[in-house]
Amino acid sequence: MSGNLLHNQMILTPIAIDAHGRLGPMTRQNFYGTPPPAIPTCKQFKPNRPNAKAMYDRATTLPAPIGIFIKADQRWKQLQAEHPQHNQKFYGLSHYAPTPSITTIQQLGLGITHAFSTLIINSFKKLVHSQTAPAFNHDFSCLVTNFLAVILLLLFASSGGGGSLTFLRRQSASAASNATSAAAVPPPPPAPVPTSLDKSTLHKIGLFLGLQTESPTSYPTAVPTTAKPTTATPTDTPTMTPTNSPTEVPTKVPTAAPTGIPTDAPTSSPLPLPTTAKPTIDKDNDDGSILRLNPNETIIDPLNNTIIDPLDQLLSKYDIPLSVLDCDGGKDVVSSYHPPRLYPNGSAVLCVVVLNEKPYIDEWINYHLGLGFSKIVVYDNSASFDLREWRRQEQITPMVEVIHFPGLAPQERSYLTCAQSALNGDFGENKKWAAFFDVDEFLVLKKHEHVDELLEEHLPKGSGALSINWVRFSFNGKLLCDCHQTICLP
Amino acid sequence: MANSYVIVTKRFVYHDPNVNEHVKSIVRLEDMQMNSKPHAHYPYLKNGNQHDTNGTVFSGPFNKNGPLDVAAFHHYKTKSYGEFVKKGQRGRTADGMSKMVNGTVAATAAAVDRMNYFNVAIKLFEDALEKNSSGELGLAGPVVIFDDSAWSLLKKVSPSLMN
Repeated sequence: MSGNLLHNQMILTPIAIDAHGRLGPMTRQNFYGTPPPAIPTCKQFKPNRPNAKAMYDRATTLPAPIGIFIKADQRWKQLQAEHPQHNQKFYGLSHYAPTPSITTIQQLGLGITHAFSTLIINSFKKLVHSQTAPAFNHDFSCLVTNFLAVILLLLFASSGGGGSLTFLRRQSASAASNATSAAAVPPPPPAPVPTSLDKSTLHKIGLFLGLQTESPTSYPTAVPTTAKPTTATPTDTPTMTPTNSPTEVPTKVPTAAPTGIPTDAPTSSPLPLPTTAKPTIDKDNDDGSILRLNPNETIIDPLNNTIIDPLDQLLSKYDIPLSVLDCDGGKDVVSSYHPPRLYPNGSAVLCVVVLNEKPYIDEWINYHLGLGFSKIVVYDNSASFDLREWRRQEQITPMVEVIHFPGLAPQERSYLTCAQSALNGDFGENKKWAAFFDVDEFLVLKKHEHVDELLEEHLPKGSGALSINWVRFSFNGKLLCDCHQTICLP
Repeated sequence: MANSYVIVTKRFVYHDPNVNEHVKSIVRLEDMQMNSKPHAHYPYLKNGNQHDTNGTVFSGPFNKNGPLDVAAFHHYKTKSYGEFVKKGQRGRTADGMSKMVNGTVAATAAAVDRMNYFNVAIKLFEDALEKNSSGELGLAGPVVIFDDSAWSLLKKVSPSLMN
């Protein structure tokens, strides 16, 4: 191949990326102009590969592209200076990636991430399929794919980059633990191998990857209520010595078993999942508060594969009394309609894109209708059109339009669609202004009763756009008032 | 059965002491460039300019120390811990990476993005908690501004809420 490339006066520029995402030396030179290090003697090109040496020299010397990112950034700054009227501070108008080099490296990273994650997810699917199959599929391609998936997952886990998959390490260590303690405890099950991941583990991978996998009927019990902590003698827990620290049980295991896995814990599962450590939270049993967490809505921390329980974490970490969980006794919940004053003949249209905002949208809609917006266009970005059955007060129904708007990058697309429709009169006559807010943003008028009054004064004809600053409301007051999960029922 | 919902504007009545430099915008339709998608924080214009209520002209998503005397955006980004975590887990809509189209490249990208955003969200919250722990438990911290103007406005435009 090198001969053909040489003959055709071409350059081959390989892009090498290591397991930690670092670029190879030739790529660094291409992108940033960094000269590649000298080739060690032991890795010199063989004398019988003259074309390879020639191609390497050609790819690392001019006129091969060298330092293209640096040059692109320089050119961008030069253009900024030459055309100050454009006043573009950020390349591509993105303050997240304000220069050509950052934009390019982000896009490259995204592409690579897509490629790798696609490979993982496809392999995972085949693994799931092989789990449900009555017998192991000896099809060669399936075998290769399974093997590849396992290697990828293990690499991901061992590199530390894919923290959520570290359970594989735990799994292996747990299996080893069971094996080495065979003399002291009942016979362990066969040590699991990665190609036979149990169903709950697969489900957890799927949960992490965002797949809708079949949920196991119940996760294996990590520490049953009858569990007896085995802290008596070192011989009882031979595998939980400090050298096994990576395999320690997640911190959410009850403190009754602080030093290791109980010997009578079910051994059918290689992974002591912490799910049942806190199967349900129903605080009103104790203190009359109304907070409940749905155990089916557990959140897995991708970093260390532990269940995140807001209450448990906070209560233990900051020693917070239960009294703060009261949520004002439910007084903040409004369970009947409170129609706002309406201005159907106003001139301002409000555009919003939503995803899983159902608990908040009624208040937000009523608030802004009351402020004077005559039309609110809600673009529902959920794939399943969550707001299809959203029930609104009869009187506001004509003033609120809900449009299913699935797909990628919905915000800016929906804003443009909304503005174009408003300009074309699709939302009624005499629409002069369009506003683009989110459901967590409330416009507060300090000197005007009506949004049209504000805009007539500050956004007259030909004046462009009025921008208003944020004031941020953080966790204050209701740090633990978890009303989203608690009482926002349909 | 009527929708039940939570009064966010009533729950959160303390804000950060400083003006946040981010802005959101309202555009005069005839002045907006209709051949390019608007930025989430500001539109592109063919006439006029981007300005605040003082008439100060600027461009982009930031307006440092912008005025709040005429209008403000109350931004309830975090709400409670559980809500914040849930939002973090959901991912963002803004960059389109949070979509769940199972079995597609988009789904894998969504998973990766959700993980990243989730981690960032957790870190932010932990930082906030560290700061908060020095103040009164359950409150915003030692330096906050009481402001229930949004809740007052909501009661005003929905009089039945006062009952």
